[in-house]
This record gives sequence, C-alpha cells and structure tokens, in this order.
Amino acid sequence: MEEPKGPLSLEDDKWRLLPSFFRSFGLVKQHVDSYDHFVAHKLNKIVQANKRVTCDADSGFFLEFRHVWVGKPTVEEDLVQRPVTPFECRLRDLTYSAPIFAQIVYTQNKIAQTKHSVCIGRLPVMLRSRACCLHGKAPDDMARLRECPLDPGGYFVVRGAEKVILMQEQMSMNRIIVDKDQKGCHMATVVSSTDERMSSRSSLVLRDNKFYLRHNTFIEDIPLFVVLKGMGITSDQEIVSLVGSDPIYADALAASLEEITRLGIHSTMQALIFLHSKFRPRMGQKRRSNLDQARECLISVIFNHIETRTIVDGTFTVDFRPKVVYICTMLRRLVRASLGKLARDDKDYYGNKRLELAGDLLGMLFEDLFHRLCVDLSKAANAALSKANRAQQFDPSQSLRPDIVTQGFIHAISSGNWVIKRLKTDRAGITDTVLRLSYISALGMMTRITSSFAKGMKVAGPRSLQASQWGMLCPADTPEGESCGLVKNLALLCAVSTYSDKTPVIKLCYSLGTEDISTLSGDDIAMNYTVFVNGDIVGVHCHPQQLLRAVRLARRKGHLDRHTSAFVNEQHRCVYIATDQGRTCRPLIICENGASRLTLKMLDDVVAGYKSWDDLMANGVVEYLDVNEENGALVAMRSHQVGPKTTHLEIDPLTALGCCAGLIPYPHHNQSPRNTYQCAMGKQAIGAIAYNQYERFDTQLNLLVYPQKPLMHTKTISLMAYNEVPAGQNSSVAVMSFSGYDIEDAIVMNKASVDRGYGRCIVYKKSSAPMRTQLNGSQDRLSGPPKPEPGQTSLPPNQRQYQTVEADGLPKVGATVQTDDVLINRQVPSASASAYSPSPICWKASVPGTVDKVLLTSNDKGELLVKVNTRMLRIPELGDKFSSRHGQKGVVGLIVKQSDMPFSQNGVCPDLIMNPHGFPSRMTVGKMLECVGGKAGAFAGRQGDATVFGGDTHTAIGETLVKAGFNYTGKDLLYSGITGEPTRAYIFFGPIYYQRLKHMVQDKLHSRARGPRATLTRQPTEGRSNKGGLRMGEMERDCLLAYGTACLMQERLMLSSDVFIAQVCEGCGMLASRNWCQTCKTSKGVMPIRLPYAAKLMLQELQSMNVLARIQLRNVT
Amino acid sequence: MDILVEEVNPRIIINSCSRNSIQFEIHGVDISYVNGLRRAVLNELQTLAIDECVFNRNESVLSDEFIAHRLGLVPIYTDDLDCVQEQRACACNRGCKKCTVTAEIDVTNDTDEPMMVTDKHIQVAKDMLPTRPNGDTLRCLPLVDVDSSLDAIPIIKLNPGASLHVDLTIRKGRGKVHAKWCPVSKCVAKPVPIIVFDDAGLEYLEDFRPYAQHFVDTVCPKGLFELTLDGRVTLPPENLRDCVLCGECERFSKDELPSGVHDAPALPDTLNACYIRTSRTAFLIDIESIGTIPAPDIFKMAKSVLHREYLVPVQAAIQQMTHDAEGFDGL
Repeated sequence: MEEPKGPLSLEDDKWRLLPSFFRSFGLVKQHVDSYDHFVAHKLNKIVQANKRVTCDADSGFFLEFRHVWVGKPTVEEDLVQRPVTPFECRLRDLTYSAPIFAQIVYTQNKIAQTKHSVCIGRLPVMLRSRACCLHGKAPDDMARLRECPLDPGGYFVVRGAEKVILMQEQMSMNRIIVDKDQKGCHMATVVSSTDERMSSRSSLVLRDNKFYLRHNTFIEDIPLFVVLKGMGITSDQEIVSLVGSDPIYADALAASLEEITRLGIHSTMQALIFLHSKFRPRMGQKRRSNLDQARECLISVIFNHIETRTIVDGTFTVDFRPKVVYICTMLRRLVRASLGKLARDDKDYYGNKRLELAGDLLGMLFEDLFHRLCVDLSKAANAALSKANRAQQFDPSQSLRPDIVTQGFIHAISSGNWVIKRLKTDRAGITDTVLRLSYISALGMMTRITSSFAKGMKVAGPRSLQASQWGMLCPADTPEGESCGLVKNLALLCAVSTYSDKTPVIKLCYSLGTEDISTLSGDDIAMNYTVFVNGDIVGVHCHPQQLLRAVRLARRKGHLDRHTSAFVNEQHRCVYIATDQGRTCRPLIICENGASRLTLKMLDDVVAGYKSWDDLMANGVVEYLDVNEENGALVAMRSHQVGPKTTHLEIDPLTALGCCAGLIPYPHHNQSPRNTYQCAMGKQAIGAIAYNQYERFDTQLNLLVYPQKPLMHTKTISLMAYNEVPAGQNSSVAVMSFSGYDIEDAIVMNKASVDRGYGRCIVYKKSSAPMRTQLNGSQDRLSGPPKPEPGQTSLPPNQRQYQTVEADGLPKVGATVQTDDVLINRQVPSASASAYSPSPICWKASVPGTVDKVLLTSNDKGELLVKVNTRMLRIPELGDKFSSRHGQKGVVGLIVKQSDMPFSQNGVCPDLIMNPHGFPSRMTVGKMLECVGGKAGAFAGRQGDATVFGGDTHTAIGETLVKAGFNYTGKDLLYSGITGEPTRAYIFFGPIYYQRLKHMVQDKLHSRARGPRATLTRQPTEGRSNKGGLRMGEMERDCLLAYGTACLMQERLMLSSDVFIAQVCEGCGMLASRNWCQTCKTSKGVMPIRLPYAAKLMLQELQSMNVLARIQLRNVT
Repeated sequence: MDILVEEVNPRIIINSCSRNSIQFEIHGVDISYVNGLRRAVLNELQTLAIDECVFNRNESVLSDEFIAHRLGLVPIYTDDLDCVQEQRACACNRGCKKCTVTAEIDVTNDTDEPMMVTDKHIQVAKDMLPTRPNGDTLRCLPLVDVDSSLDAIPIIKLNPGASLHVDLTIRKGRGKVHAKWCPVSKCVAKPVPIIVFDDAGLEYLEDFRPYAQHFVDTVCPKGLFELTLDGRVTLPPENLRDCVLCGECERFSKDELPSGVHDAPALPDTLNACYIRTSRTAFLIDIESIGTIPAPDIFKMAKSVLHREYLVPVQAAIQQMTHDAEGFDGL
C-alpha cells in the first residue's frame, strides 16, 4: 500500500499509532510482561517468603537464601555451561531454560558461610522475554540465530516442543459478588485469596429473612450474628449501626437478631463454642482446644484476605474490626439487593474476571517446587546431622537438588498439569503445543484464553458475548462446539495488567483525605463513600470524584503504575481502586474539554518515529483503562464525535477485533457466525509460517509454494505482518454454476491454474529417533541395509524396504522413499549380550516422499539424535479443501481444462468457479465486496483496503471499475468455453483471496478389502492409521434391515467380520472343546455352530462373572 | 452436414497484428467452428517445454520439485517446430534426437552476493540438436535468448557458494496435457456484437442535445458512442469490437438522464435507446502469444490442426456413414 507522507486528518490517521504500539510491545505483550514480572519481582518474593531452611537434628543449623536471580539461557554439556539459542533447542529436543541462581548463607560448624550464585534449578525461558537471548535483537541478529523476526514469542521450548501457557480466565478474588444461589436466596460471596493462604469461598446468605454465613468448613449455614459475636462484637446495636442507620437495615436484621437470642448466644465465648460444634470433621487435623480452633477459623479461614493480625512489639495482636466492617459492608449490599434497591452483580461481567498468565502460573508452580526443594534439603540436613560421628562436614550446597525445580517445571509445562500441593489444586490443560500450521495459528494460540468453567454445563451466560468485553476480547474468535464461548481470544490492543504494589496507592488515598475506618463509627462509614483498594477497605471519603481525579492524574503523570484503575460505583457508594494482576485493559486516547489530547502534530511525530508509544503515555496522551474504569468513561468512537463530556477517544474501531478476525475483509458486512468460522479456518490455512520455515523440523509442516499477499488487505494484516508470511492466493472467481460438480459448496477449478502452481503445496514430515542408552549401558545403533545375496546386485524383494538406506543406516538426501521404506535403520540391543534386533523407523504415508533433510545431533542426555525430514508435493486434486476468508469452505469438485472454462471478453479465465447458492443463506456480503474491491484494486494497481468499520466504499470501488471499463457491480459477460456462446446472464467475476486448508484427500483416502483384526474380538481394526475396516454402523444396519436383505446383512455383520465356529454341547448348552464336553464328560452331541467371535467372548466373560448362559440347539430344516 | 471442410471459407479482416498478438474478425463461419479454433489453440498446439529435470546438485534453499515446476513454465523457442516430434509419436521409446532436446543448468555462485538464476542460465546441448530439412542445425533455446526485449525470468536465488546443476529434457507436448505447452496467454473468440438503435427512442435523445450528450458520455463504460456535429448518436463500426456486451446501453432508462435541465422536453415513460444482439456468422478472435510462436502462426497452426485432426476425420466418418446408409437403402 502506498503510504502518504504525513497524517492528513486525526480521524483517518489515528490508527497509525498502532504500528508504534506494536513496535514497543510486540504482538504478545501480555505473556512477556507477565513472565518478566515473575522473573524480576515474584521469584525473589517467593524465595524470600520461605528463605530459611532449618533442621530438627541440629538447632544451630540454618540455610538462608538471600538474593535470587535468573541467568542467561544456557545448556550444560560435558560439565560446561554454554549459551544456547531457542532454535538449537528445537532441533536438539532440549529445553530452553536458564539457571536460577541464589546467594546462600549457611552454617557449618556454627560458622556462617556464604556462597554466591548457587544454582537452585532451571527456569524455562519464555521467548522474547527479558531473559531470552532474543530480547531486543534486531532482525539481522535474529536471522543469525536462525530465528524468524516475525515470530511473536511468548512461548517456551521444552524438550524441543514449543509450548504456550494459555491464559486462564477466573472470577476475580477478594471481590464481593451479590447473586442468588440455586434455591433463589440472595447471597453475597467473596472468594478470598492471598499470597500466603489458600483461597476460600465465604458467602452471606439471606434465607427466610435471616442472614447466615456459608463456608465449607461448617456443616451447615451459621447464623451470621454468631460469627460477628465470635469476632467480639457482642452488642446488637453496634452491629446494626455498622450496617447502616437507615431503618431498612434494622428491619432486615430483626429476624436474625431474634434467632440468636433464641439460640441463647450472647457472648463471644458462647459464639465460639457454637461455631466449634458446627465444624465439618476433617481427617488428619491437629486437635486443639475448641475455642482456639474456632478463633483460628475466624482469623484465617473466613474472609481470610482481610488481615486481622498485626505484629506489635514482636507479638501478634488480633484486631477483628476490619473484618467486621467488611462483613457489615457486605451485609449492607445484600440487604439493599434483597430489597431490590441494588442490582445483583453479573458474574459474567468482564470486570469481575481476572486472567492468570504465564507469570502467575509459573509463580504458583515455583513456590511449590521451591518448598519441595527446601523440604528435601531439610531432610538431607537431618539425615546428615543426626549421625553421631560424621566422616565429613555437611555441605548443604551439595545436598541442594536443583533437579526438583528443573524437572518440576519441565514436567508441568510439557504435560500441562499444574499440581500445586499448597493450594491443593490439580489443573490439567494449562499448556498447549504451539500449532505451526500457519503464522496465524501460532499467533492465535498466544492470544487464547481458556476458562476453567466446566464444558459440560449447559448454561448460556458464561459463553455469551458480554458487552463489557468490548475492545478486550475478540467478538468473533471462538471455537464452535463444546468450548464455544469458553475459549476466547484477546482483541488486538488488549493488555493484561501486571501486579503493582498497592502501598503507594493507599498512601495516596490517605493523603487525599481518605479516613481510616478504625476511627469511624458505623454511621460515618455508611454515609460516605467507601474506598476499596484491591478489594480491601482502606477507608472512607466524602468527595469520591475528587479522589478519583487525583488518582488518575497521578497515574497519567507516571506516579502510579499505568495499569492502576480507579472508578466510582454510585450504586454501591464505593470507590474501587485496583492494582492487581490479570485485569484486561486497553489503551485509549485521552480527551479533555472537548478535544483529543492527541494532536495532528504528535501523530506526525509518532508516524515519523520521533515519538514512541511510551512518550505518549508519559505525556498523558494515551492511557490504559480496565473494564471497570471504562464504565465511568465516555468514549467517542470517531474524533468528530468528541463532545465536551467525552473523556476518551478510540484509537481505531478495528482494535475491537482480534488478530484472527482481523484477516477478514469487510467483516462488518458478514453474518456474524461466518466471521467465527473464518477465525477457525484461518488457522488451518496453508501458507508460509515463518522466515525460518525451511530450517525447521516439525512433525508436520505444510507450506504453500506460491503464497500471495491478499489483494484486499486490512490494517490488521499489515500490523501483524501477515503480508510477509501469507497463507493463501488471490484467485479469480466466477460466481456461477458449472457442470453440476459444484453443488454443496464444491468448487470447480481450472486445470491450467493448477498446472501453473495454484494451490500447490509441499508437506514436510519428520521422523526422528534417539539412539537410547539402555540400563545395562548398551546403546541403540544405526546399521546399514542387509547385504544382497552373493552374486546378486540388488536386495531380494522381501527386503526392498531397505533400498533407500545407505551404509550409515540413513537415507540419502533427495532419495525417494516408498510406503514402508526404512528411513532410520535403528537396531536395539537384544536381551542376549551382543546381538541387535531391528527397530527401524519407516515411511508410513501411502504415497512416496522425498528425503529433504537429515539431522544428526545429540539430545540432553548426550544420545545421538537422528531426525529425517521428508517432503511430499501436493498438487490440488478432487476433494482438497479450500476456503475464502468468509467462512465459505468447499472441496474441489472438478478440475476442468482451461478450454472448457468460461472466459471473459478480455480472455480472463477464472481460477475457480463458485456456486452462487453459497451466498443467499450465508449472507457473506463481505465476500462480494472483496470481489469487486479486489477487481478494482487490480485495475488501479494497488491493494484495496477492506478494514473492518472502514475500508474502500462500494461506491468508490464501482467508480474505479467503471473507469477501467467494467460493470459497476462487478459483473461481466462470460462466454462458455464448451460452446463458445455468451452466457445468458452476467457473471459476478473478480479476484477473491482463497486459502488452501490442511485437510487433503491424500491424508484421508482409505479403503480395505482384507486387513488386520483386533486381537480380543477378532473384528477388523478401526481407523485409517490401523488399516481398519469401514464400519457398518447401526444406521446402516437399519437400512439393510428395512430393505430385507438378510443375507447381505449376515455377510456384512458376521462373515466379513468375526465369524467363528464354536463347539456347543447339546446336553449342557455350554461351549465345549472339539468333540468333547468337559462338563458332561462326553463327546456325544457336541455340535459346531457359527457365531460372531464377540458373542463367544461375551459368553465366556459372563462365565467369568459367574453367569452361565446356555445355548439350546434345535434342528432347523 | 454444415461442417463440410470445403464449406468453411471464411473472410478474415485483420484489425491488428504484431508478432505477439493478433486481433481479427472472421466472417462466414458459425460459432462451433470458431470455438473449435479457440479450443485447438488452447489444447492441441504442440510446442516445446522443459519436461524432465534431473537434479544432480541442488544447494539452493528451495526443493527440487519447486525448481522443476518453475523450469517447466519457462518458454522455449525454436525456429522449426516440425523438426521435433512428440515423443509418443516417435519411433524411439525413451527419447532420441528427433523427439527430445537436452539442456542443463549448471550454476555456482562464486560471488559474495546472492545470485539470481534465470532462464538465461539454461544451456541447450548444441551437439544433440536435430538438423532441419534445409541442412541447418535446429535453433532451440529459451525465449529470452532470442527476444532481447524480454526480461530474464527469475528461477531461484543462490546463496554465495551454493550451486545448482540440473539436467533438463525439452519435449514437445500439447496444452491439454499441461498448461506449460499452451502457446498463448490469451485466446478469445467471441461473436461480433450488434447494436441496433431504437430509432424512436434515439430520436427523443437527439432532439435535445444535452440528453444526447449525456447518453454518449455516461452510458457506455467503454465510451463507444459518439455524437456527430449535427447531434446524432452514432456507434462507429471500429468501436464496436471494444464492446463488452455489458448491456448498459440496453438497460438505459430515462431516469438516468439529468433532471431539472432547462427547456428539457417531455419524454415517454419507456425509452429504449438500443438493443444488443450478437452476430451468428461474424466473430472476433483475439490471440496473445507467450512469444514462442508468432501469434499469426498460432492461428494458422490451430486451423490446420482443427482440419487435420477433427474436421477431416469427422467428414470421412460422415461420408462413410452416408455411404453405408445408401447401401442399406438399396436393400
């Protein structure tokens, strides 16, 4: 696209901030930011929290971790640490990781020793993070490291596999949610979670006008006032006043007060005894005195995110007041909600959601692993120090087992199972392998969000698109089927907040006039606006807007973290300030006094590169808003809509979509599900995947021979560099019916186009084998092919599969391999000492392949690792799948000679013909616009613009077409290639970008006459890969049954499957051996019968369960 | 029996002709003949193309199949096509001097810069070329070596130090087997459009010059209509061959005329300016050669192929049938 010199108008050009944004942050900033935060802050914090290791045997012994940091990514070979690149790790099946170093201090003979940089484990390094060797590298340097500069990073290389930690969507912790339970009772729920304690869910429930506390440590709901009394508030009057002075509260609480009076609980002691009686019995709990246990529960189990313990002069003092105030605030919300004065909270509202990213998840994992490391160390110290006379001095740094951490990380990331003992969680599917089907599929994985919500639940709420997701999540990009709406994708500009310290915010709040609750009476609290920071009450304020303005000013000036959010909820009469991690935020241009703070001059500087995104942040031109703060903002979509009350201006509406939906031209003209389908199919499109694609060894790699930039591009396409690694080709498409082989979305393809390279792709397949070292020290080996018989020049026919193998046991590069030919002639040591038995890796595909690359290297165990890449050329054939960018997929129905194809006045033949029936029901008007826009672009000599909510207008397109001598609506008169006559109708004709999808006939073609059978049932095996049979299922059976073809059915179901001649004893009706019934001890009346083997198997299995089924035989004549 | 060879006696008017393209009108034939010609051009003409590549060494980034496909599409020129036979028609079984031409690419990049291998690097083995009937050795080489006005076709870039050595076999083939043997980039045969003016409708327009002017200026996307000095709408015959039969002039209605023009006369409710028909006996043929065979020759060759391989055998068959039928009648 031709770039005009400078920005012309704010409206048309403010999108040009985006390239600057992506230059500063890359495409997957959320992952990298989170990981960097973990490495820079969280890691140290976790270690500092449990830094001291002691042992029971020697009270004088201790070991302390001082400072912890992460080194550069290295690999250890022959006891030497050497820098390593991600690409080397991919090739050699290594883990791209960096050592975690610690400075440790420990006692030896009661003398403190210090050791600098002791490795406590290895941390997998996220690509493009600050710890990665690719960080800040220029494209040329990337090329030198054999890395693609377009690759977004944000994933890990673990044992050679690329793994991404998916973002996990969760309900936000420590926030009050007022809702109804299953029985329809109002309840206010808080899930409390802190760094130190396990998360626990506590709810206040309103049942029969009485308030209860629900928590799973108790066997039943506890009257709330019992809890409050247990916390030391014995005066009913005080409780009511803390809730509020309005009579509605007193009325609402009356029934509850009456209840505890009835229960006879007046004092703290009585309350605690009552609480103790309601504990759910737990296995293995330490027995303690009743009162202590109940008190401990109130302190650290219920609403445990409210800190009640303070250390004064080295001793704990407990102050329940903050917790009581918090409960009363909840109560107030609950009462008002139950009276209908306050709307219930929406659980699906995106402000109540938090995303857990790689950094958080790794943090949880590391905490657990580090704990294990310390326990292990302590055990080792115990064992060593408890010996009476030690041979040598105990050196704890030798007993430190970094493998615990290293292997823990590797195992968790490669399996995706997050087992965290402390939090008692066992989550599966946290990580996923990065799909390298296309550049978009890899990028799409980095923006993916999974929800922990159960897939089986049939509720619409969590799946449906929420208005609050605007600009944060892509409205189109979600899978179909069971995980529809649960797996989501980030919108283009969405950032996820990282944690920032809340103390500066709290300090700021106090200096801005927030009053501490501890000094205030209940009325004071209820009358003013409560100020929450990260869900904790810090105080009250009487002028919330002033507080808000000041906090925001401090954020814009850079005194507070850029992701800090502050907003007022007038219904709750609360000011919420958040600095926690996992909130989705997006940048917006700040507007003041009816004018955007972004001026044309600034934009000019940004486009020219004089100013970066960070400068704009620092100058208070743009800022991040999270979902909650957006509620208080008035955001103008276009700059001319900016009015006096407008607070923000959108950068561009295109940022509402994600990267996958950004590929679609004119998505705003399509029926919405079509965009969703395209989002899924864009990931299956074959094209270029990265600049280093020919260097890679992937399990399977599909590459288009001639990928093209789309003729109709979108701004998102250029932002994502899709033009550099495209996946598709511009095809001239005639929308007409032809030959009847185009029904049901099939497409008719031009043979000449196919001959000239249309849709041609190369499939690379990897075969690899490590030469394993066995337990007894013997090793697998490579061996040459068997020698031909003396006097023969070639191998005998039964050893033909060795023909491609050379003396080193590997095929020659460029050799053709047939089905079942040996690729890697590996031999493994047999049980007997010096013999080897063959264990070759063979070519499994049904068509020949060509050996493309052979890699000989070593893996992390030092074993020889062999990888052979084989390629196959795939020319489009009948049944291969193609799709446009509008969710319109179809298979090739017919390939037609060019002479038979219709042609236009100028002699243009379509590359493919699409049936017009694809349009009316799908309503993909965007495809039509792409067609005419592409045609106009082709004749104007430029890429057309089809960006969402913008792009070339159809009038401009039509005028360009008319100027070029075409019909305004893109219709041409075509001539039949078969008869030469003009077609009776004008044909919609123009270029449309088509993607070749990975589903190809060659991979699916399957038939079987005879073949393998399953051992147990003797029925034919299942599936193409096992050379299986084609099942005649129940419905097919029904057809034959209805048709009355009994013999055909018997043949299909028994004779061609698992027919078996069984011997049955006429006397006892049991299965017998040949001519002998073991039960009757006779050979008389043992008859052969024909039955499916599965039936015989069932009879025997029933027998094994003590069920005897007898077969009665009768003569049928 | 209207496909008798003798009866095909067309009249040809050449509109334009150069080495690489020819446009002409053909009169006095029917559509089946013209379409047959077009199909013969696309399917039946025999040309040369690289048909087999044996890779001795390929140190380039791209795979053998990739390069082979590119090489296949390189246009190969020869000055006497008849000198090379189709291999399947040749007496030999696996290629001889009469049916194959061998060539090779043997390039090593000795420079420090990436080097582009083009079709100029294709070296035809001179000693293996057949002799023409006049005694000269056949010329057979990539088109780029003949036509100096052409840019070399990039085949692949080689890194410093990399080399590429491919043995090539050039064979004769037809467009219906593979598009690389198709000698044209464009071949259109279409009926000549006939535009019949509706005199009554046109009169309304011509009566008021602004209307006529508007009609001439806007209605045809190709701008074929002209306005004479005396205010008559005309369609010069030479313009007619540019007509794309878009039907805009037929679809023209009075609503498209500018409204509120001073002194505008009243118009009838329906106003037809003209009707479009296509001729049944006159056709436009437009051939654009890829350069290996001159465009006029393509037409001539197609005609002879059509006659030799289709019309003559069909006619013979018809005659045989007629003959047989006569014998039957005699019984």
